Amino acid sequence: MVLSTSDTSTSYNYVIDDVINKSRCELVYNGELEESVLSQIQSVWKTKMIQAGVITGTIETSAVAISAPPILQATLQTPRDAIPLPEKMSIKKECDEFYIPQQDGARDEAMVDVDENEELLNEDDDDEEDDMDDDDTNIPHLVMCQFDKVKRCKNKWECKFNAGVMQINGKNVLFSQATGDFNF
Amino acid sequence: MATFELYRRSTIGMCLTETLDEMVQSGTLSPELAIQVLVQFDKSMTEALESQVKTKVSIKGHLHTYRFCDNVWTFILQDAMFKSDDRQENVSRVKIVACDSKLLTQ
Repeated sequence: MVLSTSDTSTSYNYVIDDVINKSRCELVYNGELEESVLSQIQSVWKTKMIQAGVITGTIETSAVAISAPPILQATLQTPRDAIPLPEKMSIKKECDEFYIPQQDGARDEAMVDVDENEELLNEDDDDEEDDMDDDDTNIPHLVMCQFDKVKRCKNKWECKFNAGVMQINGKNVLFSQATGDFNF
Repeated sequence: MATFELYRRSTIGMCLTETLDEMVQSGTLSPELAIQVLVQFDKSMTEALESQVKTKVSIKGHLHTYRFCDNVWTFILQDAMFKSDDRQENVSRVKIVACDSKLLTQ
């Protein structure tokens, strides 16, 4: 028989409720966050979870209202929420201005030569790293957990894990403890 | 309290991240508040895995790659078998990412 995911739905619902309740205590009660925005987070989050098939439940009516975003966004938007893009851009500008005068110095050419060589070397390094990362991220099955113990004797590895989320064969299964016995 | 950002890569974490991203994009939520909600998720997820979950699992397989970097173990297993009670799942290739549990109690 395959691993059961019935407990996962219960635990995930617990996490959603816990995040919403504690955010209410910390952010809504001191006026940083609107209750309506918090309930939007909750309903959109739950809807996405139901659509991903990891929790069971019915999609709430408040979530349907979100599918009409223009009106909702217009009413909830406040000037405070604007993303401070201009600041970032000004930092970049300062960097450019700081860098350009360096090229006016007496040792310009020598420095530029070194930089060019380094850039060529670095480019190769990056490519290799990217390939390795691609190799890792192509694995569709993932376990996220904590380790208590990792022991190796010759080619045998013994591990003790806890608090894990396993995403294998399209399923989410949670564990409190796991033992790992691997052969290298 | 120390927390791990590790679980943000799980389905529940990705669904929350997507939700917050959309709301920041539309101007409904400020990026600072979105981060605070994510940090709360890190805490709630860790607590839930400790208090709500009782499942014990055994993992066996051929260790293809191991890596220990920044207190995080990464294992890539081939032909892995996950067992819990009488139930089991097999996968040809799986990646295990594990943070040091001692870092949470410090």
